[in-house]
Amino acid sequence: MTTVDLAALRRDIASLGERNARAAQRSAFDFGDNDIDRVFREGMQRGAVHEIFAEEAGDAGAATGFAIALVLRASPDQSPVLWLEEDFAAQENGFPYAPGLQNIGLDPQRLIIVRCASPQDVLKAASDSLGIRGTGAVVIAPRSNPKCLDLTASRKLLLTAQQTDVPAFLLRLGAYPSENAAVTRWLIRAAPSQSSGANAPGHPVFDATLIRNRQGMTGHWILQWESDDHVFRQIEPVSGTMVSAPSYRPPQTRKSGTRPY
Amino acid sequence: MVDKLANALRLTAVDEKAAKAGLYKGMALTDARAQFEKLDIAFASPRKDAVLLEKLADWCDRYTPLVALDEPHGLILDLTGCIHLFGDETQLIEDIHKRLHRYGMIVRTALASNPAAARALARHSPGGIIDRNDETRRLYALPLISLDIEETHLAGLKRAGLRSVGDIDVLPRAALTARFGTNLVNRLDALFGRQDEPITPRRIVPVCMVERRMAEPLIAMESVEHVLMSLSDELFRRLQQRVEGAREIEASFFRADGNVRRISIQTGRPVTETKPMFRLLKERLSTLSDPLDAGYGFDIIRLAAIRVEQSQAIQKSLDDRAQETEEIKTLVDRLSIRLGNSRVLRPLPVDTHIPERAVSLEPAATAKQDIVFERTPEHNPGNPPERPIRLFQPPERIDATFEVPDAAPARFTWRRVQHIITLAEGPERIAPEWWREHAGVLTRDYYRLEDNRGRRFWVFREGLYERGDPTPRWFLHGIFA
Repeated sequence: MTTVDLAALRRDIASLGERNARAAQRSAFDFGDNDIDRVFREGMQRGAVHEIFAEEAGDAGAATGFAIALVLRASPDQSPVLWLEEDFAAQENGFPYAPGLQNIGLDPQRLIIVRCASPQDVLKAASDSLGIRGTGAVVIAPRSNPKCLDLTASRKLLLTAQQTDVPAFLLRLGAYPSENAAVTRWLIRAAPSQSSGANAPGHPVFDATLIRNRQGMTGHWILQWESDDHVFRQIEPVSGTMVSAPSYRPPQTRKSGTRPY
Repeated sequence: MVDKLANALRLTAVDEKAAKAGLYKGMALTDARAQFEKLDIAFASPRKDAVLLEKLADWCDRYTPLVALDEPHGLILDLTGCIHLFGDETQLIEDIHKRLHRYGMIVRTALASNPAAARALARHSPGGIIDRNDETRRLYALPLISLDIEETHLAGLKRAGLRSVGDIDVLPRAALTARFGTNLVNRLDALFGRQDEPITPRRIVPVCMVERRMAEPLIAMESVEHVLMSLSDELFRRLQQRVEGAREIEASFFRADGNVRRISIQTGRPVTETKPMFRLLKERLSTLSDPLDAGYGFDIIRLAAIRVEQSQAIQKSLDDRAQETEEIKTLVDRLSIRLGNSRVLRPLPVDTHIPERAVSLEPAATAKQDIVFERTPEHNPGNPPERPIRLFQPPERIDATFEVPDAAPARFTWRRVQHIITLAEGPERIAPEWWREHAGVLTRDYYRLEDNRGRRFWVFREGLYERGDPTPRWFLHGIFA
């Protein structure tokens, strides 16, 4: 007759469940807004590459804000956020400014800024950072459209992100979409805010178009970022301001090297 | 060797042959030319001499980490505890002579019980290894000039008929001090080791150091790595006994032809194991702009812990969280080594109102770990952001037009694009820090603006409107989300 240590078994089973719960919790994130979350039934994939484009040079602030907002949705804890950019990024679009980031909810203490001399260095640092489980999120911001950021390179990043379950956000300022392995692709424009009173600008509002989604539908939303609750909220376009349909046409399969525009 | 001294070309150094012919240091070049028509001269370059001395000092590191410069022409080595590595004293001195001769140097050495004595004996006597019991006699025989005292005092002593160090050491102290000051007595004391005169080593003395001397110089990189690996095992074994980890490690490669290459790596936390350290070292070696060149091979490889820190007792069972933190630190170290410390940065808060100074970006590898950003006092929960998420440094000039003076602009042009303002808030006045600025730095009035396309900007007007500046200058300082 064999005796079974029931208590030990129970503990084992419980711990299995815990581990699974943790994995499930980590593997996806949402927007905190019902309408947009409906598009992602399984949630946004956490360990994946998401790409965020600024539609025009003037939308750099909005695209950066949207990227930060996604970082906060994807990893709300205190884990470090690696910000990888090229040397001249600060001159072109300004450098990530800690007090402002804090204003929209990111604790500057989490931030590690890595300045690279070349896009190759950016990708190498990205791959290293994604390979570490302790990383909260990686914001990868190479300049314009570097050659080295091709299908193979982005697929490598995606694989690493999937293995470690660390989210990667490709922040593309002054760039145009070309084929790569990103799971979602967003086109971000600034949108008029709801004045906080006395004619003052209000909370960040993004005009977000999902132009590619490997997991399902695409869409277009006007989203306000609630800096204190860290949630997106869909809002009606502010009256009196024209919000045109995105002029963007999704890129078809093209030979590499040809400009989609 | 000649140099221009006191408006005349004078000899500053003569070689053996010239010395025998009666030329001497300090002689005017014209006098020397008068005696010998065919004189080989070269202009002295104290700067090059200094560089050479530095190189030699580097080279001497192979004997001891304690090397001090004795400018312009000397080096002082503290060989305490190093002699057994070379057999005995005679072998060590012979080794120095043999190797330096090969490089075409003429050296004179003296090994004595204290630096001052060795220095004086090397300069003013044939030198050699001075026997402890014989040292006083040898020092007594030295000429007065070896005391390195002022000309006037020297002349004074000579007038008194004193010729050697021995002559004055026997004189009563009080009388000497009264006549020539304390300097002379101090020199005497240093010479005889009655007063400890430590040397100032030119490099930081490593806390812990291991080295390997090769019988045959190593050329293959694989064998170099192999040696490094076993050295680092040894180094960490020693550090572990002291419960310490290395924060800075320096690898020195002594090439057989005298060249010395040093590579140092710094880490953000104490390293206690070979593996992470070795990975960093390899990373550094592979990214050197001037790669390590084995040339004729390395005959000594040394690994030294320059800076150490108490390491936590090695934990075998780290929980997930702690392990992740460790991984991040390793990542920061790796990126810092590859890209340089100044490229891997963390924002640190600075207590100032000036926006561009409120944050300083510090190397993450060396920055303090626990930094707390206070919420900006003006920012209340629920309010829209007060500060931009991207800041331009320096601020960029914009052309602004305004309908009402001393108000937010109605439109402005930045980077050739015109922005028509629909929402505006301000001004937020930020005054210069008068205790830090020089005159001419102006007060800024900041505005938060939003244009008709929803783009949000942080702009400021320089100077106080009330002062009546007819053409205020406007700048864009940042952009909001």
